[in-house]
Amino acid sequence: MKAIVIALTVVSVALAEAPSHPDKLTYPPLDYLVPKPEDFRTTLANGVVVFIAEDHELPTLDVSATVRVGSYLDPAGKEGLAAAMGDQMRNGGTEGMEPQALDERLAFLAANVSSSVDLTKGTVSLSCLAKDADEALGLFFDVLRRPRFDEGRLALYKQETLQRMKGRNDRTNGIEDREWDRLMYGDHPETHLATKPSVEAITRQDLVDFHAKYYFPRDVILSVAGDFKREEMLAKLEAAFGGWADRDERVAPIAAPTNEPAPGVYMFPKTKVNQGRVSIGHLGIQRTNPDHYATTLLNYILGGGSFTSRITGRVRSDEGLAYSVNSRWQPGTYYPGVFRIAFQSKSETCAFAAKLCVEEMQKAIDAGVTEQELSGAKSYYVESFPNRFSSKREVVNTFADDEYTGREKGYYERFRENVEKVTLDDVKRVAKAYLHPDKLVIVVVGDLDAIRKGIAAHPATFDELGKVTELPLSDPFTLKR
Amino acid sequence: MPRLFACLLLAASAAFAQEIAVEEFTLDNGMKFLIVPRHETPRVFCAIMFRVGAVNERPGITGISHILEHMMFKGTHTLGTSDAKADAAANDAIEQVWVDIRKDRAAVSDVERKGVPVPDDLAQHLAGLMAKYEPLSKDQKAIIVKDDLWERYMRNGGTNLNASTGEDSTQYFVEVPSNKVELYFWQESDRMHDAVWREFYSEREVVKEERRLSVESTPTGCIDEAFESMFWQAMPYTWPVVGWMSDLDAITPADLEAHYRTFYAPNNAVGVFVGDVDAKRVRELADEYFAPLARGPKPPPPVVTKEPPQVGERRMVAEAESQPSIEVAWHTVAARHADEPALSLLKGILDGKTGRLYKRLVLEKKLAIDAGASSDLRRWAGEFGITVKPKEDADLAEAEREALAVVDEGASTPPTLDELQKVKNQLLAQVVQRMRSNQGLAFIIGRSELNGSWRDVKGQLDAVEKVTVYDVVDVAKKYLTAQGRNVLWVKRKAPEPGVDPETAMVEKTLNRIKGMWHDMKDPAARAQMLEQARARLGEVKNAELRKKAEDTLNELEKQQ
Repeated sequence: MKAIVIALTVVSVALAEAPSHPDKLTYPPLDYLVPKPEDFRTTLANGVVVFIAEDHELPTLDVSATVRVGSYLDPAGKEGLAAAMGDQMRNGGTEGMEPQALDERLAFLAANVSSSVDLTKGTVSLSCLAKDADEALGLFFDVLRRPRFDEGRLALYKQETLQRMKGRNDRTNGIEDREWDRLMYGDHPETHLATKPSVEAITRQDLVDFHAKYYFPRDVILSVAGDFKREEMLAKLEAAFGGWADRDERVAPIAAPTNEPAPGVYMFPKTKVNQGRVSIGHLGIQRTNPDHYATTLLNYILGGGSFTSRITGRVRSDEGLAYSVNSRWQPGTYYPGVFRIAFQSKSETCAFAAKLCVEEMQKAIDAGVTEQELSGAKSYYVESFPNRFSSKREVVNTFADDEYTGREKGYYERFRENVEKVTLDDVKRVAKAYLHPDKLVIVVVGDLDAIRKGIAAHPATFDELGKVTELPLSDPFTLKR
Repeated sequence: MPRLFACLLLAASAAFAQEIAVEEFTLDNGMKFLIVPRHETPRVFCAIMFRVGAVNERPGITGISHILEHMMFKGTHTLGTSDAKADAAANDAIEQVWVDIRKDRAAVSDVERKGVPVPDDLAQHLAGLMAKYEPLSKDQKAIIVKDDLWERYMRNGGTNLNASTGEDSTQYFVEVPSNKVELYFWQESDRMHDAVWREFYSEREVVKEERRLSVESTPTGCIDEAFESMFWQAMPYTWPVVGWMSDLDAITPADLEAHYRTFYAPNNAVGVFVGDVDAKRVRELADEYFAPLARGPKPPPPVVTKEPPQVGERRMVAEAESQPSIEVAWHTVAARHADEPALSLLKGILDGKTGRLYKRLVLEKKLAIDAGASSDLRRWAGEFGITVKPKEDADLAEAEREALAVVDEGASTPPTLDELQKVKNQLLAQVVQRMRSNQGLAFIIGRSELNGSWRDVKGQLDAVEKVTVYDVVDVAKKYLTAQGRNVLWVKRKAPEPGVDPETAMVEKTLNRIKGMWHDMKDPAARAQMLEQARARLGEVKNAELRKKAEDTLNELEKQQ
C-alpha cells in the first residue's frame, strides 16, 4: 500500500499494487535494437554518401548537408572569412535569385534554409513541408552549389558582425569563454577570432574563391528524413548533383593544438556585476582514448550528472552558492578536449566555491567513487541510451556526423556494453591519470575587488589555488590586451 | 471506463491535412490527462502542468511560484529523507530559529529605512541566530537523501528532466524509458500531495543566485524588468517571474505551504504523455496513483485585476553596456480572444527578415541591423511589441520614427494578399515543425489545454485561415495607438575606464624612480636602481607601453 494521507473519501480506491517506495517498483524488460548506420547509408552515382530515412509521422522534410570545410582554413589576416561565406551562401542569394527574392520565396513556402561554417564543419540545412519538397530542394541545392554572394548583403553582414564585435565585453560569459579558450589552446584556430581589420579585409571575391576552393560533391555528406518515398527522393538527389564537377584531393583535417596551458589563476575585471564567473580545469582526452567511458562516468559522478553529482550537491544544494555549477569532460573529436568545472556565484563567495570544487576533485583522486555512485552513473547512460535516436531525423543526422568525423565502426552497438564494463578500479585509475589539480587553469571574471574581499563566514582566496595574474580585458575590435 | 478519443486535425487548407491522435480523460478529482501514442523510440515524454505562475502572486511573495518549483525537488515524507520523523523535528527546529531571524531582520529594515546604522547589539543578536541555524542545517544533512527524486529519474534513464515556471503556468517534465512510466506516476503523485519544505533556506540562496545570473549580472536584465513593470500598471504581470530580491528574502515555508495547497490540486493540473505508451496504460496508472488525491477544497481564485486603459504614452530611457535598442509595446488582449488570430498575422507581417520592419529599417533606410515584432497573449492579458536594434551610430529618435511609421501604415493600409498568405503558411508550418519532438507536441496541446482546450490548436489554425487583410488593419488600428505606446530606449554606455593593471604597475614604478632620482647622487646606486627598473619593465607585455617606459628611463639616465 502506498502511504497516502489525504481526505478519507478516497481510500476506497484500489491501491493494492502500488509499492510503498519507488525503489520497490519492478519494470518489464525493454529490448532496444540499436539502429545501424548501414541500414540508412547509401551512395549516389558520384560517390556522395547519403543517410536516408522515411518518416511519415508528420508531412515534413529535413535535409542536411555536412561539408568538409571549417574556419580552421581561414587565411591569416582574414579571420572570419569561412563564417562570412557560410552565412552568405544562404543570405546572399543564389545565381538564379536576388537575395530578397530568395528570402521572400522561402518565407512564403515557410521553408527554412540555413547555412553556416563553424570551426571544423560546414552545414547547409533545409526544413519544409513535404508538399513543397521539390521547389524547396531546388533552392537548397542552389544555396549549396550556386551562391550569388551579393555585395550589398555582404556589406550588411560585415556591419552586423562589427556591431556584435563591439559588444564582446558586454557580458561576463563572453569574456570567460574567450579567455578560457585562449588559455587552453594558445595560438590555434580555436582562438583565431575575427577582428575589425580581418572582417574589413573580407571581399566578395574572397567568398567566391573560398566556396570554389572547398565545395565539391565528395566533400558533402547528406542526411535526409521525412515524408517521402526513398527511391523517389534518391532519384531527386542524383539529379540535383548533375553537372557538378568533382576533384580528387581532399582537405586535411584541423591540426591539434600544441599549447601547454600555464597553470594559475587569471582574473579579468568587469565592474557593475554582483556575480562572478569561474572556470577551473585543464586539457582532457580525445575520444579515441579507450578510457573515455571511465572518464565520462567519473565526470558524471564528479560534476556532470547535474543534481546527482558531487560538485553540484556540495556547491549548490548544500551551500546555496550557485544556481549553475557543473563539470564537463567532452572527449575531443580531433584532439584532446578539456575538463572544465564552471559556476557563477555572488562575488564574495566565488573563491570559497572554487575551493570546494577543487576539494571535490582531490577527493575523487584520493578515494575514488562508491559502488552506488558508479552503478547510478552507468545506469543513466545505459537506460537513457535510446534517447540518442529519438527520431528518424536524429538517426540520420547522428550517422552523417559520425561518417564525417570518422567515428569507430560499431560504436553505438557496443556503447552500453562498454559502459557496463567499467569497474570501480578503472574509475580510480582514470581519476589519478587524468585529473591534474597541479595543472589547473582558473579563469575568474567579475568585480575583482568584491571577489578578493571574500566572506567572513567562509574565508578563502584565489591565492590558495594558484599564482594569481590580473589581466585587462582585450580590446573588443583587435583582441589586444 | 469512459475514454474519449479524438483527432487533432490540422486542416488549414485543402492542400494540407494532418491528424494527430489525442486521447483524453478526466479523473473524478478533476485532473485531466492527454495522451498521444508515438512508437518511434521506446521512450515517453511525461509532463504535469499546473495553472499557476507569477500572475497568482502578490507583493511580498513575488517569485514564490518559482521557489515552489525548486522546492518540489526536495522530496516528501517518503522521498528525500532516511528518517521522516527526525527530519520533521529538524525542520521545526530550523523554523523556530528563523522566526526569530525574521524578527531581527524586520528590526534591521526599520533602522535602515531611517538611514541610521544598525545597532551593535541587534547585529550581534542576528549573527548569533544565524550561528544557531547553521549547525542545525548541517546536522539535518545526515538524514537527508540528497536530491533523491532527481537521482532516481536519472538512474532510471530519465532525460530532459526539468521544471519551469512562467507567468501563467508551472510544469514538471522528464522523458523516461517506456517500461518505466510507472516511476513517473509514483514520484509525481507523491510530491503533488505530500511535499516537505526541507533545505528551504539554502535553496532560497540558489534562487537568489539564479536571479543574479539571469537578471542582475546581465547588461540589460534590470532594465528589461523595469520596463515590464512600467508596462503593466495594475495586472499582476508587473513583477518578474523570478521575483524581487527583497521578497525572496522574506518568503517563508508557511507561504509555500499555502501556495501549494491552493494551486497544486488535481483539478488545477493537466498530465500530458507523448511517446511509446497507450492510453489504457496511462488510465490504469492514473486511477492507481492520481485518483486517490483529493480535489482542492475550493477552486484556485481567478485573477480579478484588470489593466486600466492607458492614459498616455510612457517612456523609459536607460543606458547599458549593450547594443542600443528600441522597444515599443502596446496592451492587447488575453489568449483565446477573438482578435488573437488577426494579431498573430499582424505580428507575422511586421516580423522576420521579409517583414515590413526589417525591410524598411535595415534594408531600405539602413538605420538598424535588426528589427522585428512579437505578440505575447497570456492567460489574463496580452502585449504586442516591436523591437529595433539600431546601428551604433544611428539617431534613436529617427529609428523610432521610422518604426512607428511602419506600424501606422499597418493601421491604415491593408497588407497584400501575398503577405497575408505567407504568414498563414508560416503559422501552420511552425505548429507542424514543433510537433516533431514529443516534448514540442506535449507542450502545444498541454498549453492549449491550460488556456481552454487542446482542441483549440485546430480552432486557432482554422481561425487564422479565415483572417482577412481588413481584419489585420482593424487590430492594428484598435491596439497600436499613439496613446497606448510604451517606449524603451537603451543607449550604449561607455564601459567604466578600468585601469589596466600593467599600466598601473608601469606608472607606479616610473613615479617611484623619478621621485628618488634627484635625491640619489651616488652613480652606482642610480645605476643599480635603473637596472632593477629596466628588468621589471622589460617584462611588460604591451609593447607600446614597454617602449614608453624604456624611453622614460633613457631620458632619466641622460640627466646624470
